[in-house]
Amino acid sequence: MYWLSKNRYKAGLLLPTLLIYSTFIILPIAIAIYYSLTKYSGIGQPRFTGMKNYIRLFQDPLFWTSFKNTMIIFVLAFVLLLTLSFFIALLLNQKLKAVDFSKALIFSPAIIAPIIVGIIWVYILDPNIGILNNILDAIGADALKLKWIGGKSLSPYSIAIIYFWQQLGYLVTIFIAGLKMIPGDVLEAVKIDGASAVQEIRYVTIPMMRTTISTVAVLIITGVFKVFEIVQQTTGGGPNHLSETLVTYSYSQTFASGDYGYGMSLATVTFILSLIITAVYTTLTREKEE
Amino acid sequence: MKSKYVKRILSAVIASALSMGLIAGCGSKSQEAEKDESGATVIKLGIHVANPKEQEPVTNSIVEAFNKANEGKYKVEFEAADTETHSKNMKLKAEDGTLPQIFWIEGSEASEYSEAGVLMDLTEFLEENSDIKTALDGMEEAFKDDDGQYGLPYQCNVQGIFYNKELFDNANVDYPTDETTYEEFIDMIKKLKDSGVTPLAIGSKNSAYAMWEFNEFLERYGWGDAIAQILDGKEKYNNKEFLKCFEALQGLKEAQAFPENMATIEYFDAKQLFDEGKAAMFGTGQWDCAEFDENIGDKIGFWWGPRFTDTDQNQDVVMKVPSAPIGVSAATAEDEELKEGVYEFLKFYYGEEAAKISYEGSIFPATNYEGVAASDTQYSMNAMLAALSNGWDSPKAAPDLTVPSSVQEALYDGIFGVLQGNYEPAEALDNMDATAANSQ
Amino acid sequence: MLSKRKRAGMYVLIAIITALVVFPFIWMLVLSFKTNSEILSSPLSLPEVFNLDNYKHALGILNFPRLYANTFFVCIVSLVVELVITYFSSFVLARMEFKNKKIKKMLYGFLILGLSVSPFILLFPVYKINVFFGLRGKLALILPYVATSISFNTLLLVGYLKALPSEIDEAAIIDGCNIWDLMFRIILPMTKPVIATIVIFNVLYIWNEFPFASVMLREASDYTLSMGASFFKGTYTVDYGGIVASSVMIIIPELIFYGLFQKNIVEGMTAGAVKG
Repeated sequence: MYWLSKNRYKAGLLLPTLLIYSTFIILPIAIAIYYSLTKYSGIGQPRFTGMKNYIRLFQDPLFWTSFKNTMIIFVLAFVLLLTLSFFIALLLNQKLKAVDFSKALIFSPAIIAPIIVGIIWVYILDPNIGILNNILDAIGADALKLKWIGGKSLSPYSIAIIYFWQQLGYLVTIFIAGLKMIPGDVLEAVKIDGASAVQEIRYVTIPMMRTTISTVAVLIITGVFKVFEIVQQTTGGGPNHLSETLVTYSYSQTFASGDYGYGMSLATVTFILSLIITAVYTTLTREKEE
Repeated sequence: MKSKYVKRILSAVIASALSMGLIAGCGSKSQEAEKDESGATVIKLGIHVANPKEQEPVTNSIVEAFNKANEGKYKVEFEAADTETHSKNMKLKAEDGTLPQIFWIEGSEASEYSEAGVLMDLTEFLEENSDIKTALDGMEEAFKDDDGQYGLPYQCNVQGIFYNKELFDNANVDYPTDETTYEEFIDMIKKLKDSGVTPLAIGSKNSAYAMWEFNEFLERYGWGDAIAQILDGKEKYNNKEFLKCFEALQGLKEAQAFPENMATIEYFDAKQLFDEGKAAMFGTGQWDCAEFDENIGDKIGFWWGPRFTDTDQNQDVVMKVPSAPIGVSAATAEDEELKEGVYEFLKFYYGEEAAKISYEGSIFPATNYEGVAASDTQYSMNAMLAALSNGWDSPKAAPDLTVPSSVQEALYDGIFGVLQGNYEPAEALDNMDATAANSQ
Repeated sequence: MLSKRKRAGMYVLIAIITALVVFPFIWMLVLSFKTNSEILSSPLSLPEVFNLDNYKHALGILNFPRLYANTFFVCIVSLVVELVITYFSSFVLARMEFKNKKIKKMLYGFLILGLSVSPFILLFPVYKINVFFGLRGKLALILPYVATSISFNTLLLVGYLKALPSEIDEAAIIDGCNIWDLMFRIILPMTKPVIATIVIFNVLYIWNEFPFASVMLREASDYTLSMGASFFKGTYTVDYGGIVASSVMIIIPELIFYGLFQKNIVEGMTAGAVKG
C-alpha cells in the first residue's frame, strides 16, 4: 500500500474536499467568531468590541437558562436514545415477521417536516387542548395533568421526548446494522455455553458493538446541540425564554433582537461546548478500549 | 461495467465544474434598469409574505392595477418571502447592493437601514407631490431622521380591541365605550369569564409581537412623551408611570382574562377562538377586518381599551398609526429611468385609486382622501371608523415601533411575561433597561 | 429457539412501539383532510367530511412540478459532487499511509468537527461567500449543501473503508492495478451499501432543508420544496390545511425513496458505523 501513498496523490485527492469544506464551513465559522467580537445588527458596519459579548454572555441569566435546558435535553436524550434505541434494535433484530415493515414505520418521523412535527406535538402536549391531558382526564388521573409545554419547567423534558421520537428510527437503524455484524458463530458458542440472554448482551453484544455505540453517541451529542425546529415549533422558546435552548436563544438574539454580534457569541460558545463534550466522550471511551 | 462507473463519475465532475465556471463568469450584475419582454422597466417590490396574492391581497391588487395602467412602460414585480426570511434577505442585500427598488422594512429596523445609508431620501418626492403629502397628513413623520425622509408608511394601522357583541349580551355586560375605565374593564372580564367564555384571546408562542391592544395602554401612561428621554438615556423604562402600566397588565392576569394555554397557542389560534365565539375580545388591527366580517358579521364591535384613572397622562388618545414603512433603495437614485418608475409607483400607491382599493379590502391606507369609505357590509371596518369619529389624537408612531429591535423584543417579552405571571412588573421593565444598556 | 410466549410478547412490544412512533404520522394524514378551522378548533376529531380541498388548494398555490424538478436537480448535483470528493478524501484518510499518523488523525478530526455546527451560524457568511464568488440561484445552494455533508460522509466513509481488509489493496497492486483502478474498479463496488446510506440521509436532508434555501434562492423559479410551507403562513394568516396537505405531498416521494433504499441502509450501516 505504501507505494501508492504518494504525497502527490494524497494532496490531489484531499484537495477538493478540503477546499469546499474550508470555504463553506471553516471560513464561515471564522467569520462568525469575528462577528462575535463585534457590535453588529446585520446592517451597516460591525464595530469591534473585543470580549464584551462574552462577558455579557456569562452574566446573562437567559444564557444559563438555555444552557440548563440544553443539558436537560442532552442528558435525557442521551440516556433514552442510547439505551432504548439499542433495545428496540435488539427486539427488531429477532427473526420475527413484519419487522421490516415496523423498521420503516419507526424511521418515518425522521422525514416529517419540522413545522408539522410542531403542529402535531402541540396537539398532543398542549395542557388544554392536547390529547395527553384529555386522556389523563378521561381516566381520572387528574394529578398527572401537567403543563407539559408552555409552563415554567417541563418544556425541556417534553422537547427531549420529541427529539427522542424523531431520532429513534434513525439510531435503531444504525444499531440493527451493528447487531447484524456480530458473527453468528460467536452467539451460537455463547448459547451452547449456557449463557442467559442478559449475560449474552452484557458480555458479548455490548463489547462487540463498542464502535457502533460510539458512532451513535457522537451523532446524539452533536445532534442535541443543534435541536432547533422542535423547540421553535412547540414553544417558540417561550414562555419568556424559559424553554429556550442554546441554539434557539442564539437564533432569537441574532435575528429577532437584531443583535448579530451577541447572537454569534452565543453560537460560538454552543459550538465549542458541543466539540468539548464530543471530545471528552471519545477520549473516555477510547481509553476504555485500550 | 466498472469502467463505465469511472467514466460516469468523471464526466459528472467535469460537467459540474464547467457549469460552475460558467455561472461564476457571468456573476456580476449591473445596476441598470431591467426590462421585461414588452420593454417595460421592471421595478422590484420586496414584500414580507411569501404569497402576496393570498397573504397581502390589497397590495397585490394595487400592484396589479398599477401594472395594468402602465402596461409596456413599468412593471412592478414582487420579491416575496415570509417575514423572517424577508428581514434576513434585506439585511444581506443591503450589503451586496442588490436591494429591490422598493421594500417593506421591519418597523424597528428602519432607522438602522437609514443609518447604514442604503435608503433614498424621499423628501424630493413629497415636495414634487404635495397632494400626497397632504393626504398622508403627517403619517410620514415617523420615518424621518437627519438623513431625510427615509421611508413612507406602508399602510395605516388602526389598533385596538375587537369584541363580540353577542357574547357580551349573553353575559349581560354593557359594551365598552370611550369612557370605560380600567376598573370597569376588570369587572367586565370577570363577568365574561363567569359566562364561560375566554374574556380576551391572546397567544404568545412565536407571536409575542401580537400585543397591539397594549400599545394603547402604554400610550395612556405617557409612552410618547417619555420615550425620547429614555432613548437618550436620561430616564429609565422602569419609571413610575410605566410601572403602573405594567401593574395594570398584571391585573388582567389576576382577573384571568386570557386563555389558560396562551403560552402554547399562537396569534392565529387565539384569533380562531375569537372567530368561533369562544373568546369575547381580541386585540388586533384592521388587517383582520375581512376575516371578522366573514365570521362574526354585524356582531362585531371595536374599542380603544380602558381609561386609566391613576395617571395624569392624556387618556383621549387613539391608535391610528403608521405601520412599518416601505423604503426605496439608495441605488435607485443612480438610474433616472428606475427612479422615475419608482416615483410613478409611489404616486399611484399613495393616490386616490389605491386608497379605494385599500378600503375595499378593509385596510386603512396611509393616505386620507375625502369620500373614500367602507361599504355597509364591512362591519369591522365601520366599527373602527365609528370609534375613530371621536376625533382624538394619535401618537406619531405605535409605542412598540419607537424602540430599537432588541428593546422591542424585551418589551414584548416583558408584556407577555407579566401577562403569564413569569415576571413581576418591575422585573420586566428592568429587563428592558438592561437590554437598552447592552445595545449601546 | 424462542418460546411461543416470548415470541408473542415480542410481537406485542413491537406493535406497541411502532404504533406509538407512527401515531403522529397517521394523524398528519387525518389532519390533511380537515378544513383549516376544523384543524384549529377541534384538532382531535376526525374530519366531518372527507374532503380533498386542502390538496386542491395546495396544488393551486404551489407549482409542484417546478418545485420537484428544482429539488431533484439540487439533490442530484449536490450528491454527485459530494460523493466524488468525499470518496476521494475518505479513501486517503482510510487507506493511505501517512508518515506522521498525527496529521491523519488531525485531518479526520478537522473534517468531522462540522457535525457540531448549527446551520444558521453559516447562513450570513455563506451568503457573503456566494456573492463573492458570484454564485447565484440553485448553484448558491449546491456548494453549501455539499460542504455541510462532508462531516457526516467522512464519518461514515472512513469508518467503512477502514474496515475493508488491506490485503485487497496488496493483491490488486500485485495484479498490476494503478491507484485509479484500485479506487474505482476494486474498492468502489464494495462500498455500494455505505454510499446508499449516504445518499438516503443526504437526500432527506436536502429535501427538508429550509434556512439555506430561503436565503440563497431569489427567484421563485428556483424555489425548492421545503419553501412550500411559507406560502401558507403569512404575517396575519395561516392555512394549516394547506401546510399539512403540501407536506404530505412533499413526504410521499421521500417515503417511496426510503422504501426503495431501506434494505441498503441496513447493509451500509453494517459496515460504515460499526467497524469505524
